[in-house]
Amino acid sequence: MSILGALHNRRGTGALTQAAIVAVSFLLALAAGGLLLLMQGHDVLPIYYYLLIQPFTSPDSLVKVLVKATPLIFAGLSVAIAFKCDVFNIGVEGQLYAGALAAAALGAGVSGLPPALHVLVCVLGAMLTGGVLALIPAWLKVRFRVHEVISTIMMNYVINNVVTLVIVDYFRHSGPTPRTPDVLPSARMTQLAPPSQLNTGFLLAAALCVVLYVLVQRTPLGWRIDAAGKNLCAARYSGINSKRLVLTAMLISGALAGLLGAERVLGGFGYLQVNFSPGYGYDGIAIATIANNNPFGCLLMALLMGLLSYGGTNLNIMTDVPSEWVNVLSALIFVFVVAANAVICRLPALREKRRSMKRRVQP
Amino acid sequence: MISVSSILVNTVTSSTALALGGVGGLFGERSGISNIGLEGTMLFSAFAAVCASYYTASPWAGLAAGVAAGVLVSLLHAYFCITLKVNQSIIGLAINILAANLTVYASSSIFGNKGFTPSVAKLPDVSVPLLRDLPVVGDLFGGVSLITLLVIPIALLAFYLLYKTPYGMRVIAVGQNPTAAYVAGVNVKRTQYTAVLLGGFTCGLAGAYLSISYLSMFVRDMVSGRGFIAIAAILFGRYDPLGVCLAALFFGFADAMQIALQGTVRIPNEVIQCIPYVLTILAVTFNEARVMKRSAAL
Repeated sequence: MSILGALHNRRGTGALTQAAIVAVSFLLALAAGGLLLLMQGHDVLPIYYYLLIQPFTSPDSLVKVLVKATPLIFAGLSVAIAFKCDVFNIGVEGQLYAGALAAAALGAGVSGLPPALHVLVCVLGAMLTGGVLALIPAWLKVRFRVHEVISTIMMNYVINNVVTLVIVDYFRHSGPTPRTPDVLPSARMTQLAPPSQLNTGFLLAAALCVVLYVLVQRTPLGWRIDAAGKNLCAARYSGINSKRLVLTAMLISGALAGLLGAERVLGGFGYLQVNFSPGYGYDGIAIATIANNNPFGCLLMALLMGLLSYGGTNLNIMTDVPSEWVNVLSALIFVFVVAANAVICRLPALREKRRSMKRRVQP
Repeated sequence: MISVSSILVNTVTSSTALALGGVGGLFGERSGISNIGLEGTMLFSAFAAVCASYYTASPWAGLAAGVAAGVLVSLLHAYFCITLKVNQSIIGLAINILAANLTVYASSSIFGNKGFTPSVAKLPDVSVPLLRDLPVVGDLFGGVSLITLLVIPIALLAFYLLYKTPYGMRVIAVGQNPTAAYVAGVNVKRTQYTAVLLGGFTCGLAGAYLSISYLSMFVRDMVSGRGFIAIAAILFGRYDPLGVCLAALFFGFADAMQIALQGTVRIPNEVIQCIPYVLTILAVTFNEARVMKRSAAL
């Protein structure tokens, strides 16, 4: 009882409560965002129409929402698995570039493989690259107690510079934009709805939600990761090697980030472009936090963020509202959910405090 | 040709924001509240300073607005961390995301440009008599930003505040053992709030320095990691105001070398630009290793 009890005393809102919190935060963010628009004299209703209703009016735009959501699912899962072990992987943003570079190199450089095998080789290469790079901050953390927030952020800058260097100087497609040559057709993931970029990567992302759910909920490894994340001391006393767990969780997290890069290169663009990520890694942190690190929650949140992201490009074309307004909206949702979670987690403690105050007043 | 005096000038220019962010930020860290939102706080301040300077045509109003924005944003951080007890990294990151997007959105809706704002009145540079005539270091004092000159008194003040006043003792006590401090009669929350706000104050100065002294406009993402490197400077400087200043100078020097080496040696710019970040990781690692060795020796 004592250890198990200790494992359950942190961060605990159920899935339903969490869904309600997210819904209310979403509405609040819409209201706050609407206020911003009103202050500038915009007509709010058509803007909300393009943001929230229009994407559902045609299958074409729905597909585009899924395209936007695909990398976000990987990003959310990647951050969530590290979070489960109480490791803060801000390095997804760098790891995904490294994975993308590996996928682009293997996709363009290796020839003569049958299509399915070629894709598999590229994907595994990307996962390995991302995973190994995530191991560096993990090792620094367990060996030297270097906080992973600092090391991963610094590594993001380094990786981005190195990947840019490789693309521009060594591996450049002849053309105006700095990008790598196209990957071979045998390395492309199957397109599901051309001309949109929807590809098998989306199905893979959805399947991974199930895999990670099973991993965390139904396997000893997942249980250990969860236990170490919830209460490190209790986990150690029950014989868990927490250092190895941190390494494992970061390896999985980095591999998922690499997979994100591979999906963009092999499924989306067909090549690797400098600075292609609009900040997937940071979005992933918001998604995982809002979803309470639940894989299915990550899927739903990624779809919602994908909807907002598609709505943002829509707004850019149809109205004179800049797409950054949508980014402000999702940042507000993030802040509101964090605040609401904190308040709800503290409610029992507050109630207890009030009761004890009353007792003190009337003995 | 690499000139010593331009490296010196660039070192001081690059380390100003790092030293300011670090010297204030270490109070929060010392009190047990770490703030990776320093980056976003600086960004908000830089933008607020430009807005105020634009509308009033007075850079002093800009400076005041920058500092006010820094304090307000850190108040938000303090409220989430101390009152609501949210994970410090998460809310810090949320502040960074909010800052990155809100400033760009506001820039595009106020000034009609997402990338940068119009040029505004900037703080005057000072030229220090006598010192400016010295060889080699003379360029340093020829036209130095007012805020850069403020760094040394602020660092000394921080040193005094942290080690020589009851308030500083309270901050240290709260960070080391909040329960013991509480039992000894220290108001833990108030101490932590003021410590975090001190960080907001200096980050406000740092942000204003970047936008209305170093440049005279706001540029999208203009802080570009300085907030994070300021945190690294806090760790590397072992949470000590003077140590943090030295660490900031060290990182500023790395940045100056990066600028000096660009175009002069046959190393790609991208590799040179990595230098400060790699040094940060190495510096923090060695620092932690040293701390571990010492605690193992005890």
